[in-house]
Amino acid sequence: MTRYPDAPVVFVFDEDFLSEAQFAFHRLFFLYESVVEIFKERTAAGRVCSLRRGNVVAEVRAFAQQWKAETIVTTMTPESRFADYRRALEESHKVEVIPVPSLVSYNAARVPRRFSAWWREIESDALQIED
Amino acid sequence: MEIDWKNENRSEAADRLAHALTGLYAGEPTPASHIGGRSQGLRRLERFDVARYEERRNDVGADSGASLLSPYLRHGCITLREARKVATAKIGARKAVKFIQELAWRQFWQLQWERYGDEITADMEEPKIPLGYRTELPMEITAASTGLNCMDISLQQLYQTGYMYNHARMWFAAYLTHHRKITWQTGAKLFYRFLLDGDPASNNLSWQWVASTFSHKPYFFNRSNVEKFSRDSRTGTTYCTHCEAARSNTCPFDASYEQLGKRLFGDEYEHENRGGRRPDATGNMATRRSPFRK
Repeated sequence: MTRYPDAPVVFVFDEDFLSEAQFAFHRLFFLYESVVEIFKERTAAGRVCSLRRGNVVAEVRAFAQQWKAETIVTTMTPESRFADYRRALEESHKVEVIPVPSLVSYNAARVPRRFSAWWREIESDALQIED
Repeated sequence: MEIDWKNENRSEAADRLAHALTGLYAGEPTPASHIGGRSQGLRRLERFDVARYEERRNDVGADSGASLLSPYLRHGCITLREARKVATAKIGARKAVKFIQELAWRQFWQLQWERYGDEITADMEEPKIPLGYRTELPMEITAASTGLNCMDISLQQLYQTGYMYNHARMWFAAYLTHHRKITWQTGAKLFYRFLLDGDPASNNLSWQWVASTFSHKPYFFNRSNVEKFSRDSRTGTTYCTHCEAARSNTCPFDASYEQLGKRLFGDEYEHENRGGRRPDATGNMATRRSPFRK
């Protein structure tokens, strides 16, 4: 959203996943408050925000079509469900996936199985301040 | 289906959201103890006493030096880099190294998830000790009424607030896995349903670290560890002070690590001192030796 400050935004509570997972309400409410804070800032600046429940692919696609979007932008997660949604949305739209800012740059394919070994590799990077 | 998000206050918002999400959650629709959002995350980060962190991060309860930032980091309200930047500005990177290592643990788990995908929900390695295969959660766990204060206080906190101190998570994970012989996946599912910071990578892999399927040996603890880290400096009491099991000499943790290790894992088990250390403290405590005699 920082990269596309003017874009309409949508957040969907995933009906299939949540009805199966049965999270405690407070988990969902924490997410809700986090989302609403962003929504308030953006609507104050005249931007479009939509909060929904339903099928993620169907809701996001409908929202993208409503606002005539060519590209759907989202944030990366290794969750396999996410990969399925992405593939489905790519049938109708271009999908841009933005990586989550990490502490250090590191290629996951190389990560050792023990933290101590990894820390030895990255310690100097991890303790260096950027920005 | 569109959900109305323009509400005046927290309790009205909770009521309306509970209605809008009918069927998608379990239990009472009460708001979380942490207020969600980036501004709250930044506020906590600014207030966080990173100088106390190294010494007090393992404490549970009133004296804890835990940052309580995990829900905000988990959901991207604040980033690992922002947390590092603020901590370093306060006391310098070298003095903030324990905190920065904790941030690094978070990325470490994410990298494992990125690399191994859904494999993190099954044993990553052979267990180094005999594990149990029970999958049902006993009633006293779901009711937070095991009669062991160190479990019940933390479970009540989890169920009511969505938060549990990391050290208490380790105690509970060791109790469920090694004392009750219940699978780590059962415990991981319970945590994932309740924790505000519940994340598939940190959650599954930390349980595996305790179970020894993603570490060189199992984690377990004893009563003196609980007493040391649950002491309230104001009252001088610990979790054990008012615990019925402690009073009646039935505390299952009241033994040396050597005794407990043999009791839990068999006479062949040899303990190397790791008690009280946390999986996200340093990586140094994990050795490559088998916990069993060669």
